[in-house]
Amino acid sequence: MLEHIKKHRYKILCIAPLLIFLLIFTFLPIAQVIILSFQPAAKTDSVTPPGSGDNFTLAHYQDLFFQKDFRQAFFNTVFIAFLSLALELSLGLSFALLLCKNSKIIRFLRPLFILPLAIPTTVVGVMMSYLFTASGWLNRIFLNLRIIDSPIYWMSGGVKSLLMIALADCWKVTPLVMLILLAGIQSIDTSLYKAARIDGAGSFYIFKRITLPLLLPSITAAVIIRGIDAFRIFALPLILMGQNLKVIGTFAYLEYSEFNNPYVSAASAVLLLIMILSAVLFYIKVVGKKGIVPA
Amino acid sequence: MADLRLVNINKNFDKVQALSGVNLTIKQGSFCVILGPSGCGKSTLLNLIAGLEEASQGKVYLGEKEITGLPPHKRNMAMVFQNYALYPHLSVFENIAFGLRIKKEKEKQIKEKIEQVSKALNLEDKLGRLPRELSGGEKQRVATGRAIVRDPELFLFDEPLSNLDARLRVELRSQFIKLHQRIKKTIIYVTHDQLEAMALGEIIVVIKNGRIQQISPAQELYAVPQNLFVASFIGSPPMNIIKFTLKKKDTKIQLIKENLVIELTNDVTQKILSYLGQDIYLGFRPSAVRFGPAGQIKGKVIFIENIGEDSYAHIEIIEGTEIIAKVNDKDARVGKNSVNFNIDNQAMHFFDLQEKRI
Amino acid sequence: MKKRIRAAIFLITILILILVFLFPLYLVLKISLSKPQDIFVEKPTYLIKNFTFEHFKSVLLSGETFLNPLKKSLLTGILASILGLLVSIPAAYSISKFNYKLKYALILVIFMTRMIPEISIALPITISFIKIGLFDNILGLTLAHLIRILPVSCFILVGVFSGFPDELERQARIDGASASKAFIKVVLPLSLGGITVAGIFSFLLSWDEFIYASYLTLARPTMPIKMYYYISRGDIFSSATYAVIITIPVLILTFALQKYIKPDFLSGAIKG
Repeated sequence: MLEHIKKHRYKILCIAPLLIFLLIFTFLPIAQVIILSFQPAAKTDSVTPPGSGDNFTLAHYQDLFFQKDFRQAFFNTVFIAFLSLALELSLGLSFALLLCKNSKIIRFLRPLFILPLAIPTTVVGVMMSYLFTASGWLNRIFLNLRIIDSPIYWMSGGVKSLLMIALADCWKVTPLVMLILLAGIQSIDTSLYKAARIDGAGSFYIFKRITLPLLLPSITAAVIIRGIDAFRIFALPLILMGQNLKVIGTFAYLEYSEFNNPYVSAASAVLLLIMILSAVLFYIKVVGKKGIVPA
Repeated sequence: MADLRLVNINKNFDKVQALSGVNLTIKQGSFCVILGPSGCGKSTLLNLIAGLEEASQGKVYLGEKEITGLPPHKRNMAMVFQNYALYPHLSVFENIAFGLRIKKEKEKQIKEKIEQVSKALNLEDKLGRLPRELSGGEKQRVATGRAIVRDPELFLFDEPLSNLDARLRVELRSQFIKLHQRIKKTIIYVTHDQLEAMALGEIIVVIKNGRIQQISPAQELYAVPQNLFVASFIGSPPMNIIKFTLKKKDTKIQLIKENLVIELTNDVTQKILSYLGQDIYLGFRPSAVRFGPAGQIKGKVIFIENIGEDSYAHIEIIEGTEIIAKVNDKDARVGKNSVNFNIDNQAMHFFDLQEKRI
Repeated sequence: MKKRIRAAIFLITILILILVFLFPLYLVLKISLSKPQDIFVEKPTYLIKNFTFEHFKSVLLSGETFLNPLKKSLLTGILASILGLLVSIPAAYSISKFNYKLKYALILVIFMTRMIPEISIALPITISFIKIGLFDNILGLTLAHLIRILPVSCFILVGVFSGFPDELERQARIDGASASKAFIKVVLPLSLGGITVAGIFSFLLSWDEFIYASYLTLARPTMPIKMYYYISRGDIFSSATYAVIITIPVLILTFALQKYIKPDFLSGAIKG
């Protein structure tokens, strides 16, 4: 063992700063936030240092479960995650199929589809707020096209607002899904298509029996990468809805910054962490470890 | 300068054993070729000598000094890789100067040395170019120049010619020999091409599956192969190898396979007498076939290969067993469907079932 | 003929899609360049009728109100990407040299950190940073941004170094260079492209970061936080102008890197 360390001492020395950083700024905070979530609220204004004394309480978690606000935030998070994931997958797949040909024009146009990916999420939030306000541009266009008779109040809460956030997220993220799927489609051996054509298969049949099954690994990759991010959604709901509609992320933030309640904030952060971890574990169980690390 | 000695070298990669029980001494100043099929461990052996890899067990000595654990930059060896490994961001001059600059030699000295080397290798007008602007042969010469300029104790070549076309290979081969005559340093040269090995090597080390099969001068390797692998690996077209049962009929020793019987003359039978009644391998080169109407072996000519000066007949002697025979001008009648021939008994090789030479 | 019509329909579909898709982007630009009478009316125009640089002028000339966030964002981004490279170059290099199992395990650990929601890290470090005086300053924010940056830049760089031809490095070692010298003289200069990509991605990750900045900011906002401030006040011209100013460098840098944009990088790099 000692000899091993000596032999690799340069490598270890090289990687040490990274590991130390991750330890201090990622794993330690996780431990702290968990401890914090079980700590009784301090009487004074200052937060007691985590891990001091034998204080242990489930009060913050009870607090959370009895808060209608949190239950709503939980529901919102899950709803938005599934809705946006479904939208992004179907749109991403359509775009990918549309753009998978390698002609000159398409290669020229493809970057335009990828453009939203480069727009900072906060800017997307700002952009979408112009689009979705009652006097906003979406209503204006819809009214002009006579799709609707009276403006839709996207920001009035409820399912409409959830849909709005999902759409906003979708605008930004569909290109990423498209890129992943496009890479998958282009890695399929084109001679398979030729063989199927010779065997007399039609376009839809080819899509169903060749493209889709061979694309499955890419689809799962897209789902997991996007799934994690969908649970962590933060900037868009905060900018678009603020206090009026919370997801777990913004709930935890507002609980801390607006209501100065770090304990409950910590508890909800822990719950979000558990949600994501269980989703990932579920994924690993179903798909296996190979799907996580790109080869 | 000193002899290089490898003692009981083993090398494992995870579970694969790349080298096992390698013992090898390479005399100072010799031109040693390590020959073997791809994946046999010959490049691993070279990397081990260079210090790029560490042996799992065993020791490496240079003279009396043990260098087993020494990192490559402290060994003063030069190596030329198969794909030349020229630094793509540096000019030819800087590529050759790389090692000298690390040794912090004076600029004037560097210039002198490079001038000398580039003259010898005919690279004078290429010094300002980048590697990607060079032809394959030029790249090879730059890589060689980079090795020479450092004046190392040992030269290691890892299949330096295998990326070049056949003509250039023959041309550069003679350059290596001239180089060796001039610098008189130890050269260890790895190749999978037996012709190249025979042409270059004073001493040839044949490796298969990580084990040394034979160490001998080129001619001996051809004339006295120590086992079946070496016998079949050296020579082109390869040696014919057929399994026979050894029997005695009256006073004559016979090789029998199905209905084929070859009677041996007494002078060759001494060493194989102890194998009577057992199976052995007979090996003979295509050139050992003597055609003649009195030949005791009868065969059917399937086709004849014409390779320039020589022709080779593929002959079926019993069903499913084919041999290759060299055809001389005077054997013109071989074109016919069936032929008779003998095998020169002096040119027969025998191997036991453990594939060792008898 | 039929084929041509089909191709034309196909092209038109794509163009319409692009139009719809990119409309929001145009909207921001339009608002930032239009006079209020183009916007605050019953039926705002689709095109810019009354063009003006007024909003840009007022933002750019607002002195410290604009310059301080810009300075903070720029400094944080530059500092974070430099520190990020300093940490991740050696780390990624040695990871790429480890045997397969160890390499896989380390990449997995690093990747796992990407799954952790920022809010569960942001809260405890905010509490700690307040105590040790790193709250609301550049160094503190830089450290927080490194949490985001390091996994991504390590990912990119492990890819870069793993793809580096082994022979060149071996050749340098044979030529008498020690391991570190071979790295500095051969590996580093030839990996400069990949390292630049990692550096620019790191900068972008810091430039548009929002969550840590929200937690760690009180009086000295970054550009995104400043923009959020305007949008929450309902100042659409300033927010649009900020949006354009924030987006322009991102677009330029992204397009400069276009050929390097692969899903693998992006999955870690862009969203969050």
